[in-house]
Amino acid sequence: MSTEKLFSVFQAKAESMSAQVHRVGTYAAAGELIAAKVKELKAEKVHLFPSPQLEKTNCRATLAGTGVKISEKLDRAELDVTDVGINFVPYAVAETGSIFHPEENPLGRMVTMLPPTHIAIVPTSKILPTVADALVTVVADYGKVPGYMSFISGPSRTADIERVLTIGVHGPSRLIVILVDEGMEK
Amino acid sequence: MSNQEKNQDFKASIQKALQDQVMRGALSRFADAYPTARKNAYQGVDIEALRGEIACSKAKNGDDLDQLIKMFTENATKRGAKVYFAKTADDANRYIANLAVDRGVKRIVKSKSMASEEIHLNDHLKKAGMIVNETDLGEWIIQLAGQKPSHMVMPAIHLSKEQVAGYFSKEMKSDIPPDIPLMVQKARVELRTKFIEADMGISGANMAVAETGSIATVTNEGNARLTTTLPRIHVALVGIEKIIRNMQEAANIIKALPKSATGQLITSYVTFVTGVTPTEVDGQVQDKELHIVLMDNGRSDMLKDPEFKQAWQCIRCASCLNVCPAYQMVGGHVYGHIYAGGIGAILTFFFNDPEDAEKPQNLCLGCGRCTEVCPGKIPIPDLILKMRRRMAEKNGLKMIPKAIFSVVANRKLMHSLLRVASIGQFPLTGGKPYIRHLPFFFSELTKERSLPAVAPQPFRDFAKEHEKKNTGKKKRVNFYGGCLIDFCYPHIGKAVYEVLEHAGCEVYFPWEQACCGAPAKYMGDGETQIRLAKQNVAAMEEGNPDYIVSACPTCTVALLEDIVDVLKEEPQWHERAKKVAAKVRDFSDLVAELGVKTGKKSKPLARKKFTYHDSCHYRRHLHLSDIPRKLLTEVAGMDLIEMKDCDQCCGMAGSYLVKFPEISAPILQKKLDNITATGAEMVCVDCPGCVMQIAGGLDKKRSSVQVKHTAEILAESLRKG
Repeated sequence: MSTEKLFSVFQAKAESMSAQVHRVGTYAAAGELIAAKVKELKAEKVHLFPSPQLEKTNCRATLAGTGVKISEKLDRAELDVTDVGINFVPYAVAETGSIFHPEENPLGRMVTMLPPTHIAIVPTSKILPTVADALVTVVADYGKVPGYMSFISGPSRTADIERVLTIGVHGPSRLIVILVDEGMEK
Repeated sequence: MSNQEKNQDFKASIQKALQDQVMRGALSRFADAYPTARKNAYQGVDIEALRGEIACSKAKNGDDLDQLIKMFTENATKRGAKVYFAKTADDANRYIANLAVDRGVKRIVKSKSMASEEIHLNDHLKKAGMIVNETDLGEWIIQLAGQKPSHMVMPAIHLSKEQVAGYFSKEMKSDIPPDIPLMVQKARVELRTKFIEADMGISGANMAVAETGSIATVTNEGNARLTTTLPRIHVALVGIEKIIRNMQEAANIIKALPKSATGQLITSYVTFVTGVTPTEVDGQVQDKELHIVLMDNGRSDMLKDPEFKQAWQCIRCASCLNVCPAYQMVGGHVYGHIYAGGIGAILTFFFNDPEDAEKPQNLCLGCGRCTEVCPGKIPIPDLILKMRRRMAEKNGLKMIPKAIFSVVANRKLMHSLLRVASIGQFPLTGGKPYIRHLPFFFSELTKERSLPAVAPQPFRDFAKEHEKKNTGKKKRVNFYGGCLIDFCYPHIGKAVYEVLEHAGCEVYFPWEQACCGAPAKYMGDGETQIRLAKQNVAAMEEGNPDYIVSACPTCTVALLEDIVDVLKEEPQWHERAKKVAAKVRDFSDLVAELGVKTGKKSKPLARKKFTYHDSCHYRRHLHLSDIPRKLLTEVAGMDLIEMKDCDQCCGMAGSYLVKFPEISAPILQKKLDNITATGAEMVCVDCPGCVMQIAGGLDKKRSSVQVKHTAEILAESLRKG
């Protein structure tokens, strides 16, 4: 399947599960978009999980421009009251509209779990066709099954009271996926 | 408790469930939405291939269980997990409670685990002094309410938002309004603190992958991720049936489980934990402790039992409950123990106590809708029958069925009793062909439906007279009448004769034919079934026919499959049964094959609007649903208007309406509503049992909709004007 086809399937499926999907050309553009989203959400505190890809977005600078408080401290109490968690997620899956997040670092996991909004930067070139493909690829790339890995599809949800779908229980109520084309083979 | 008291208890719990409008409403809304949601979720997936793969690999995993347990244990241990094998519920409870005490644990958060419900783990932990909080919203509500889950996937489906608000107000000591988003938000805040403070997280697992030593959870709320990430100790309680070989199998289960469970493409989170990972303790990074408790608790007994090993293929999606007509009426609590529905009765039989399964297993209508959707392709109703037979062998049949079956099995006695009944009933029918009122203990049966009167002349008398004109020069059909056509609906039998003769056959009625054995089978009376099978094999061999035809799908299945199955221990009878079975055909199926033509310009029933009800055995055992639809539209020229849930049981289900008239009645009501909603003037079926149930229901409502067996329509269309 071509990248364009994978993208369009991913987008349709992810949006059907209430994820927000954006696509930008460069990491720098992703940095601008992160700041714009944070501003739009009127967030006061954001929590980053540093990674080389996140640095490429230059989001510390763009976020500083919004006046938001930035932290990257491993502290569950602080993470519990932050507004937005931001990280890099290395894969996505078209068939299910999921982002696929192998991560052993506790901060890397907590930024995706505790805040009410999760913003994930994902390379467009790493949209894989199926869950089965993702499970094979991750082992090939990491040399073993990572200690903790999750398929994340849309925000946290429940229908446990009267079967009424309600978004945002224990995990984020908002999932924003920013796909970055940079580094894609033409 | 005496058996009679148990029975009263059980019947009382059914009454309570039936009167629970909140639960009935929620279950019915979900049941209405589920088939479409499931279908949409599976769009683009070859579901039959997927079911085949899952059933096959799960069965293979069962065969290789010892090897897979060893492999899982080794691989998980290599990654730093401590794996404990718990043979019994006590072993599992003791291990986890001791661990908590030993590590100085005070606060425990739990994500959803049916295995922990099964062994009442929370009670044990509380006794050991722990504060335990369920964190799945449904499970937490159930915990606050002091109840048990009523559905494997949706534990609190039986509660209203007002009831939930009541439990929340009490727990949070403030007035919480019954506003669902607000209550969800309150739960988030309340439970978040508990996550942050917990020293131990206990999760279940949907899969345990042997090749990698990983456990996986398939969840929506995000509580399982917090449970497996924040506390310094993680305990996963895993039933050994969750062990699969590799990640390919995991991918298949991920593909099926959310779609089958709730009609979701995928759940919000699918999480794999492989060995020890770090967490944060007081701002410092520290490796977690991971304990995996592999629990048997009756599972390997189930697997080793050749009659029940297929139940191993269950992936706990509960789609069988989602389509079960009986479950939709009564919900999960009447099933007694933890696991609900037909599969629940089987699991309870092995995991808990066979006695606890005895009453609930009777709730199965045997309609087979569950088997059609099960990702593990488990023939749940067949397993229920095996269980029933085992119980009957152990405990003996109850007095009343025993007496009934000794009559049913004695053809002469049965038939003379029915003849007597045809005279004795006239005061009841008031000259009409339905019994509207029955005295005393039968009264429940006629509350929602009228029962057909026994015909003054049984079909067999007509048949004997009729076959005198046979020439012996055409194709010979031996007709198997079955009780209902013989004694209540001779006109259906006559229609069968007309149509088959039109198709170039001569029809005979072997006199010694007896009950097909299905009622005995459904009661677990194997002995009677064998006796009847022999009698019918001998009877139907008469005159070496070309075909043996029945117009009742239950009888057809009995003659096609059961007579061969029950006689397999006696080689000579087995051979004879196989030869008979090879000639057995359903009426409509044979007619379609031989072909009939009306040969008239105007068809008497042309353009009449009809709807078609798929009888359970007809659709799911014989797989013939398309054939009568084709005959009715093409030969009779009628117009088909499909009803909603055309394949859902009418509530007749053999003796079900005798055992559970209170459940059969609302199931029938749904069927009648769906029929009426089409606006058709006629409902056609291929089963005299369904004719009886549906016609009875329509008569009671004084409806003008007619019920016709396909044979009647064809006969009318072919009759010369």
